[in-house]
Amino acid sequence: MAIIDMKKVLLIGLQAEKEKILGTLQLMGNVEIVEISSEANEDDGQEQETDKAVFEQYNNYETLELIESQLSEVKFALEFIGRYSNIKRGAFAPRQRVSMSELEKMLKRVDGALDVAGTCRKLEEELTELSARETRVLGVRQQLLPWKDLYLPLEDIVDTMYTSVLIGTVDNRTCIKFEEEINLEFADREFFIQRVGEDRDQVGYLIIYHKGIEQEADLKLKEFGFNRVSFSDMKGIPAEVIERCDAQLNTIAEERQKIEESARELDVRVSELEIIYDALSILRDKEQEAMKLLRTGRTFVLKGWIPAANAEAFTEKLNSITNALYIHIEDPEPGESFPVALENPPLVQPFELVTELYSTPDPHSIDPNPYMAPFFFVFFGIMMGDAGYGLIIAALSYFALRKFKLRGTGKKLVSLILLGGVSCILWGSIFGGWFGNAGALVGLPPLWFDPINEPLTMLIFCFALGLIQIFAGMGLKAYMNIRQGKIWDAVFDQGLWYVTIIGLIIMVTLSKAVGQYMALLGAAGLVLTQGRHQKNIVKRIFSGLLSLYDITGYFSDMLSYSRLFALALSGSVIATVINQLGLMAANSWIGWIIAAVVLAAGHGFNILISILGAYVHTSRLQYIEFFGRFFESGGHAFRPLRIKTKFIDVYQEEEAV
Amino acid sequence: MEFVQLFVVLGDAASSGLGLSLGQIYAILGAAVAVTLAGLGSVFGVAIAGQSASGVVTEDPDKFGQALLLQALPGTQGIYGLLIGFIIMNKLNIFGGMIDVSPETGLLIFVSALPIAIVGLISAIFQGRVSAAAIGIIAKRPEELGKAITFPVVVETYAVLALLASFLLVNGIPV
Repeated sequence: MAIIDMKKVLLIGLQAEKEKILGTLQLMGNVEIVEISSEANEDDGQEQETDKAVFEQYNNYETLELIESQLSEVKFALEFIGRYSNIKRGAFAPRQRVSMSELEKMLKRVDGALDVAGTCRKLEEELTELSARETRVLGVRQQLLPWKDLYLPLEDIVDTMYTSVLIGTVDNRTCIKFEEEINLEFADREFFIQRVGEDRDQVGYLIIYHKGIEQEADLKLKEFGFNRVSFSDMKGIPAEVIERCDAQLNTIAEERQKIEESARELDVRVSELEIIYDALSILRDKEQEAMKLLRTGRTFVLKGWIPAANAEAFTEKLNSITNALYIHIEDPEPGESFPVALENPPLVQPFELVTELYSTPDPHSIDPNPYMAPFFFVFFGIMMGDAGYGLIIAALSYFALRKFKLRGTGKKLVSLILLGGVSCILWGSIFGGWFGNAGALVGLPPLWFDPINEPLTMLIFCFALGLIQIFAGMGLKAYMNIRQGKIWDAVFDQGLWYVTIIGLIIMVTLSKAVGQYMALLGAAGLVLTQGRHQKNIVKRIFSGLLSLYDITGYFSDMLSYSRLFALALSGSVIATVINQLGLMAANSWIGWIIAAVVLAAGHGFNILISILGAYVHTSRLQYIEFFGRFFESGGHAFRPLRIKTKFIDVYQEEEAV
Repeated sequence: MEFVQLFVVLGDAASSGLGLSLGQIYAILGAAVAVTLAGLGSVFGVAIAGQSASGVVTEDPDKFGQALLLQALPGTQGIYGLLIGFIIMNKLNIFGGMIDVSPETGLLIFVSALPIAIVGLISAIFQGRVSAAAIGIIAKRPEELGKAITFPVVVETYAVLALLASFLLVNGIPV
């Protein structure tokens, strides 16, 4: 239920057994290795020099680089095959289970995987080449389309001794007029024109005229923007060339199919590739961590952190695999920062996600999760505020947890939504929200009251909840102060504010006189104590007075909890509107179908929007109004060397037997 | 003053033509203003954030989920506006035989819609800008999603307060 205690590990072992020992650490997965070189700098210069003489840093960049390049090749192959594969692998498909020793064996088959990757590269190259060819052929075809009906080979479009022979295009909006005018003007003269094809926006013409009328002809052609075209680089009759292009395009399509087919044939290798990918990435992780070690001629030195609870098992396990080993485990020095790992009961674990997204707490502060969890639970439920929606999201997330083997963040998120759903069912029944007003329509009364009819009661309820959370935050800060021995800080900074605020509340609710004196007492105390860090007496009183201004902070934080009401309101009113729209349609059997569609789509959309709103606003209340009062960030999360896989589950033989 | 006169003139013209009372027209105007302005704000907001989101997703398609989450944040103002719009429509019983309201009541309803209309419009635009910047956070540090969400949500607070004010006002007007 808190931040786990960590112990420092110093381990010296034989070079020859380094791989074995690191492998065991990785399997156990509870030691975070730290870099030693940076720590050596803290020692005095003399020692550092001897350190340097005896120890040297591991340098295995080359091995790492090799593994990285192999990894990226295998990854490429997997992506490439996945692109053309007919088999769709869902993100939640069950993983293959592979034993540790099988994994070792697969590492010997890396070359095979690289061969597959090489094949993929070759296939991709061929595909790129095909695309380039296709673009070229399409270009030629496109260019020749306006000359589809030209019966002359392109190389024959040249002037003769007495005539000009030319081809060119006219915009298809003016071509009719163009033809009319030409026919009119050159009707009985040595002028020949023929339309030979068209594409989307222009029409192609073949024109032959006697050189004697060149000037007139030129003028007329210019008038209509005749665009003369010449094909110096192409030969043959256009229709035939286009036909050849089409044939080429067909072969290209066929070839592409063939390549895609061969890519598909590689499908059978996928599971092997996945195992090799994970085997390589496990090896990569190990080699990366090995860079943090120091070495002498025959030995290596490892420093790290281990959860105190695992320390004994760790020593035992390592001693069982070798006896040429020195292990020293000690507590961190007071004030020394250590990696932060949290331990919470299963019901609180999903809420760790909310804190993880914010920050890692300082190792010497407290784990906020157990205190934040109940507030998150309650607030999420109030903001969604609909028992029907709660049932749906709880059922869906329960199903997802059961069906897909989720892990890590994904599991936490779905569990968080499941708990949120449960909370929605609770608060929905309290406030009478069942799919908006559907509950009220069938006569389900709210267990307490309906916020829409009694908005002020609801607002006061929200403020009260806010006040409870603000007080809880102050309480945690006071607890932290006391634990650090700063008892007076707790009394002055938190205790006096408690007195003041509670006094103000009594003043406006129960008894004006009692509350008044209590608040005044608290305020006077604040004025006297809040400047205690100032040396100058005037400054001291002045800062004391100024601190009273913080009351606005408490007040606005409390008002901020009105969002509980606002979001509950928005969800339930939209749901009610959806119901109204649905019922309006439902007056015939077709109407009922329409109503069903409207209701399903509308409520589906509203659920999504409401989850989003409830999640972000609940988080905000935790981050700003709650954590702001006590949270100390600045820790770094515990990242032990462990087995991380993307596609497979790894198990140890001993466990499996 | 001239503004009010304009209202009266417009209202008279419309009511004589449509068979609606002046009060009803003011109230409907209130609903329209709430839905339109707050909705427009959200349009601007999600558009600004969406452009940033597209940029990030171009670089790294895996960030689609996070980017979408941040893009959707300025979308709520439009929903708040719609909400007030519907509450006004419900109050007028538009879906089943509209009830008559006096011009004063109608004008009150119109004014009650203004907080969410105006604050919704402006806050959504600014929230969109903050969201766009927050999408920049997840572009470089996807693990800081929590902090990235918090900044835009701080802006939204005031839209939430305006929604609450509009709701309490509309709710409190007797018809």
